[in-house]
Amino acid sequence: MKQRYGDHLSAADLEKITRDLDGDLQGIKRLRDVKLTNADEPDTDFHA
Amino acid sequence: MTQAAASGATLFLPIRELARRIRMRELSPVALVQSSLDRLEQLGPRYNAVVTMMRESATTEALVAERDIAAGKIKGPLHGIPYGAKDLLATRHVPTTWGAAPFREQVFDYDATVIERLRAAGAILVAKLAMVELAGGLGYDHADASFTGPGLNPWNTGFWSGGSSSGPGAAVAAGLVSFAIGSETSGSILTPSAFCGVTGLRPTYGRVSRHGAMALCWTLDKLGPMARTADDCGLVLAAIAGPDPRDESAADRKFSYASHALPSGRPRLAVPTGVIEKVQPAVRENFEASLAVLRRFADVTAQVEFPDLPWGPAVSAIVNGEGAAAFRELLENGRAKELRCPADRTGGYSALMYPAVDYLHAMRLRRPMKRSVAKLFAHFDAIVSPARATVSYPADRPSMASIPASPVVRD
Repeated sequence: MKQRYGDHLSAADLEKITRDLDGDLQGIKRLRDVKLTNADEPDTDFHA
Repeated sequence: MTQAAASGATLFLPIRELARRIRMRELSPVALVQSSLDRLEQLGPRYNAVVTMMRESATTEALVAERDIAAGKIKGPLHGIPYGAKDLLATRHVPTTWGAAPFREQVFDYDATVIERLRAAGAILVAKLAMVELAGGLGYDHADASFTGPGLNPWNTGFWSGGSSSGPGAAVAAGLVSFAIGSETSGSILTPSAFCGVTGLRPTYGRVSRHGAMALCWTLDKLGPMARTADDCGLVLAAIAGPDPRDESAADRKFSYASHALPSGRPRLAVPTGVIEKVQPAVRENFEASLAVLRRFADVTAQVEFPDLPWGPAVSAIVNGEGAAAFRELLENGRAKELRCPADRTGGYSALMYPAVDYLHAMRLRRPMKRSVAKLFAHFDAIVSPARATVSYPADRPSMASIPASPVVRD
């Protein structure tokens, strides 16, 4: 993150982003707890 | 037809009554539009509800509407009715700011499909209305998250009008417009509708074309009406719904609305477990009063188990992945720093790092999620729940972190 966007981000920004990433990881863990099979495909078909 | 100024009270009438008065020549579209424009100018700033006034084009369109109606060429119930559009809908040669300072000067050379359809139905756009910057896609945590300032609630200007359709919520509640068009990715129609005490209709994805609307999340964005009654919302949805070759996700199904088209039997309504217990007392009181009304004509089943799946994390994953892609340039060129809310200035960067496999995991979860909801709907016609677990809160409150979202789906 620092390497790619360091020019736009302060140390405080990077700290905040680290906290955001931690939050994302918690959500990701809840997602991964739901097991999917090889046959479960991404849904791109929605009907009104 | 009388062109005497329509009173402020007139703007609080439901669309069907306004349409009747216009049809009967008791109300002039010019006077109605003038009244709406005047109220927007006088009261709009009090609520930070307006971005751009459309006085000139609205006045011209009102004169044309009046002439056509006088000649018996009535387009339908929206003919001559003033409305506002959330400022993420493209309007030809007029700024479309997305509520965000970096886009203040942005101008498109075309109209969004929704704008075109409302014009074809005779509705008159009187203002582009305020919104949370970028529809909240970069993680705002404060009401003050738009270059127009925090959206303030007409019932108490010390409180937030809700987001991200903050202007539509306030403008409808204050009788500045007869209806408005909002957008919702995850709560942006229902939240301001709940906080401002108006009726919001968040259509099923694909029901309304997104062509010309700012994209935050291509697979979750929806456009819908915010108005004074459910009937008003039905009338507006009928005008804007339908297939559109410019938006492949717009469903190839026609939608028509008739207020009398109620189910023949008693509708079966489900109240999910937890929605009464986990809300503020004031919300609970209102909700229970609403249930008492519903029970007069519907079978209401309480304590229905809603499928136990990670709804909130799945929405977050999808909004993270798609939102970061939609605003990648803004983040990479550093212009996110110009956003109003500090959380928005950095909020998108973590999303840029969101793992593709986890975005896809959420997209793969959508099928079992849909199946689980379909199973529920085999037994019920509708799910009933408070839109939010709380009433609005002070607009100067520094963080929304402690505010619970929907009691059913925490997003």
